[in-house]
Amino acid sequence: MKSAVAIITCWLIGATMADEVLHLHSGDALPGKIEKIDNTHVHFKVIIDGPRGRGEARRRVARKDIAFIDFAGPDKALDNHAREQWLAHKKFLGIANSPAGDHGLAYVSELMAAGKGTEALRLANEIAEGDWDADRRDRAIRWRLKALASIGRETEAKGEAEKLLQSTTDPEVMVEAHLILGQAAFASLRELVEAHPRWMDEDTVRPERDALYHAAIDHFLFGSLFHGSQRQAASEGLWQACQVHRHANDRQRARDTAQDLLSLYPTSALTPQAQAFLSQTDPAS
Amino acid sequence: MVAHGAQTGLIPLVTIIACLVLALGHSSLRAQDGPMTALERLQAGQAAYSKRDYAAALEQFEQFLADFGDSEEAAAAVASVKPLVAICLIRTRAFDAARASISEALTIAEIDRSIKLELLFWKGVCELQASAHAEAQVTFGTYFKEAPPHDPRRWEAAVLFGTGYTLQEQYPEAIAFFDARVNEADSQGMHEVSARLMTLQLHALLQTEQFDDALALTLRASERFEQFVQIIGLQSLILELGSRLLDAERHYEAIRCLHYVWPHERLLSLQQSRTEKLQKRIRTLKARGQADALVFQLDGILTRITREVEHFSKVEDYDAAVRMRLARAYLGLQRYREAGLIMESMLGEMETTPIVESASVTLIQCWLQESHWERAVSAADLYLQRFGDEAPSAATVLFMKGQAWQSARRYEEALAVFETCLSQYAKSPMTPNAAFMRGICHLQLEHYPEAIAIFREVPIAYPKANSLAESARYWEGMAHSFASDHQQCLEIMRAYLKAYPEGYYHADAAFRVGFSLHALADYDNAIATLRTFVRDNASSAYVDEARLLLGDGHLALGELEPGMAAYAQISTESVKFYEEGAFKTGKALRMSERFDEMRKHFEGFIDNQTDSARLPKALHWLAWLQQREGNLDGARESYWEAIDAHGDDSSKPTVLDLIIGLEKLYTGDDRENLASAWADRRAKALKDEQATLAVRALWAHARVLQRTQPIQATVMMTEMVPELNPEQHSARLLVDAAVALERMDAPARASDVFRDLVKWHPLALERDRAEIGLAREAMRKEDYTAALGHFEYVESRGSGTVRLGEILLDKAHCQEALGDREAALSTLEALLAEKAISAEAKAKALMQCGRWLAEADDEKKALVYFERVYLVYGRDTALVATAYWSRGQLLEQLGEREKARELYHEMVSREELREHPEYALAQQRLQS
Repeated sequence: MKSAVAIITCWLIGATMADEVLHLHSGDALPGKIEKIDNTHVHFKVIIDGPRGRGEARRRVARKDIAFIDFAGPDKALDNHAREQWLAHKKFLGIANSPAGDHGLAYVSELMAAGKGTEALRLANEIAEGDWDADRRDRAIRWRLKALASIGRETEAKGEAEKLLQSTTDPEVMVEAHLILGQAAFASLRELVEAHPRWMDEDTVRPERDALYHAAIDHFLFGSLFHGSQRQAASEGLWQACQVHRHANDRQRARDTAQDLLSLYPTSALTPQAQAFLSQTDPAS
Repeated sequence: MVAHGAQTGLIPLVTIIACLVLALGHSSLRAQDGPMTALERLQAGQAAYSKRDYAAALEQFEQFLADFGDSEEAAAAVASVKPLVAICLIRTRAFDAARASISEALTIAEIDRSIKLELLFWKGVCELQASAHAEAQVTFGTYFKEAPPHDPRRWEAAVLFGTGYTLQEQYPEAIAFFDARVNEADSQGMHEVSARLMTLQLHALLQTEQFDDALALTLRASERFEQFVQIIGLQSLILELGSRLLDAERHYEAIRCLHYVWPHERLLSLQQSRTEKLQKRIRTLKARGQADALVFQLDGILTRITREVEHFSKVEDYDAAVRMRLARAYLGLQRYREAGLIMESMLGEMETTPIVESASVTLIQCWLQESHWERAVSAADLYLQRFGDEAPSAATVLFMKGQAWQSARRYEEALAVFETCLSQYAKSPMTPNAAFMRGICHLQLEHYPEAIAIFREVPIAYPKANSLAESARYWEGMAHSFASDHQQCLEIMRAYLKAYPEGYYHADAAFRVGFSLHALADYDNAIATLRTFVRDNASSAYVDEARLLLGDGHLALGELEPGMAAYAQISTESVKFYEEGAFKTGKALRMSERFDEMRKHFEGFIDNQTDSARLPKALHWLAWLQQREGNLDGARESYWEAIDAHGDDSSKPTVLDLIIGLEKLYTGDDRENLASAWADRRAKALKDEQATLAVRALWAHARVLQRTQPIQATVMMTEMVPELNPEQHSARLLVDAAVALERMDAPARASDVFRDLVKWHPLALERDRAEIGLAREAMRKEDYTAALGHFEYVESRGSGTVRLGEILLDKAHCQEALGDREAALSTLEALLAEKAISAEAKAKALMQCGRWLAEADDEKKALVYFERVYLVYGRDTALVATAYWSRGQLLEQLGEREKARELYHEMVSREELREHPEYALAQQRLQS
């Protein structure tokens, strides 16, 4: 059964692959169709428009000579099939201009939504290591952090997030890393308060509790304060900050943060929750 | 930008003209001497044009027109040259002349359509240059209509048409135009043009202050920033919009807007990377050929980006200005943490510019506002580190650092900072405040003489600081009051009231006068002063304390009625003073033997103060009254009534005190009655589902049985465990249950209860006992590190509720088990040095020290320790016997056989040691 699927997939790939244009460092451009790709060469079927009509020739071009490739657009037949798009393009992952990573990340997103964190992690790793585009590698790292957290490897996610913040300047990655760190601090805070419900009376516990509380809030606010255009992540951070305030029984700050979310990101997916919270916690009550 | 595009667009035009010129059929050779022929002129002009030497070309072409303009033979060539002249004029920026020249060229009937369009476009440009905006709009409008749809300049013309409205400040028209064209351009795939139209529309919206529409446009634009080739221009407009919204106090909208302003570096690097990509693309396209139109478009884009980058790279403090605006918006919303976080990043990451300096001062204020004292201190330190001691706000920052430490109750640190502020910034406006705050710190450190000296010195050192002089006077008086120098305080406060009749501390000083008079036992004057104070300062925080003192004053003079009347005036909200007054009233009634009134008084207290911690004490007095009348049953009934009323209320831990108070009313055989009464109460409580009362009754029952049936009492205490709710029930019940479990040899279960106690009652006195229980459980499991942690916690609390000697012995045992004998020995030395520790514990410590020293071959010292056991702590005969025997053995080891024999003799002479095995051993040694 598996091999049948593979055959059909291969047939689909072969049948639907449109023309590409190889742009060489020399300035030459070769329209045609990629047949095979290996570590050193691209095997290419070149289209030749001759006086007696259109013909084909096979060429082997060294990868080092290729500046970039204009890849054929995504196959419409494979729309909404992130997995198939990824499988069709993954061999081009490292080649400049290749959209393979985008398809891969779309598939990662699907895997995460389906709760398949381990598979998502594996794929995100592959893109983070192999994609030609640095931005996309960063996006893959963001997914990697999310996937790690989703499969219970929070400590690893926290460690990686801390490490990432030392090196990255990519806003999306930074915001994601801060969200991961905020979640880690919030989890530790919940654990500590669970173990010490009267923490406010314990001189040895209170400083640790306060540090975790402030760390969680600071990390969660990072997105909305420094990269507010990352709407989804920033609003997620605000909502999480609201949860931290609620956990601390600081109703006023929780309300303020929910209000910030509503006012700054009125179209956020979290808006209904923030509205519901505000209506449940009428300040007059 | 347009001019650059025209260069490539001219290539076909030149070719056409050149072809026309060649068609004239004249010789291409120029005569060596004499005037040039028409053909030579044209060739010379063409050559110069090809080399882009437009001035030379213009000269040749104009000369040609001057020489042959009227020639019928050259009419065709003249018609061809006129457009070239216009282009040369544009290239040499002679726009006025070009405009006339183009107008003339456009009148040529047989002009090629493509040349006509070319010239039309440039005519519009010239009109714009001449500020003939309306005419330019007509020209660009004509171009837009006449140009074929695929003409890359068609949309340029549209952009310039709209720009015409903007230049004429016809903003509503501009907005309507751009609004209509954006979608059209997008639908034709002209996304870059559409982006430029949006940028211009945003500018027009800003000019007309249509901020809502501008914000909506910004948000739409943010979805497609990658299409904005001139992203820097757009971002500058967004920043301006954010600033305007901020000025209008529309803080949320300002923040939303500023979210989309990118950092300087990001914008520059984006544009630089775009430049590189474009250059590469253009090179590739040129190499491939056949893409002139695309190259034309890309060239235009490249020029625009390059200019923008050149200008933007010179802008200073851009990021700081953006962040400061964002921080200001959060400050406007009173979100001090958010503003603080933004400014903290500025201080940490940005160059030390005036904007960052100012932001850093605000940052410290934010952390003070948020009560993040240590964060305020860190920010102040970082400010001083980055900006230096000579920075404009260094003194203010240092003062705020002192304030932060003071608010954190770190008075020593605060004092040091204020001292530094005073010595380093003697001329700063903050200096008088710093000088004054030193006094406050000393006051809080209870260094009263130092505080007084400072408060005296401040008004002299800083005579212009009037408000400080007033404060210093008041606090000098307070320092005397705290130091119990009431006479001095009285004089200063009276002087204060005279000097500052409308002073900030007037009411407080008036109270302090009464307080001091009372403390000086000048009751008549105290009463008069306090009565006036109460009358005139009903809203003062001191009013109830004044009423209490007023009552005390009257009682001191034997004036019971006015005294009790004063106590009765105390507000129930001032719990401490109210209860104090109530019990003093009770005492006054008791002393004056007004027992009926006393009973009514305490009954009233019990009815009205059901949450009072002093309820048991009130019940005690009621019982005392009943007993005094020989009515023991009545006394007991008072307690039972209170227990029935409040016994099931877990929020009232004082019920346990009632139970203990009741116990005292049952003695001898009556205790059995009490036991059965508790058994009945528990049965009823269980039936009525009064869980708290049921468990309290079980505890009370167990307590009654403790002396007579200790095992049963212990079992009953353990029976509480399943019924206890550690979150609600008092630590006393938990600790008694856990100790009972320990006695029943159930240490693991006991530890569970101890853990619950620590978790839910961290401040309870019983916590020490729980920590010890947990430590011993850890020792049983050989987890000495955990055990040490528990012992050290108890030691650090120093609550005095547990026996320190036992704790230190166990602690030393743990240290020894962990291989740290040195620490163990010092723990025992500390034990021996502590006066309050029992003799038994000290004897054990000496014995243990002796053993360890002997093991460590420090025999001489060990001998001393063993000797001290039987010399000083002789009561524990077992230990004494062991000490004798150990010392004797050690002496033998050292070869001191005679001394050992003397010691054994001494030991066997003590009959009280006979029962211990070491006694027989000593006898054996003496016989051998």
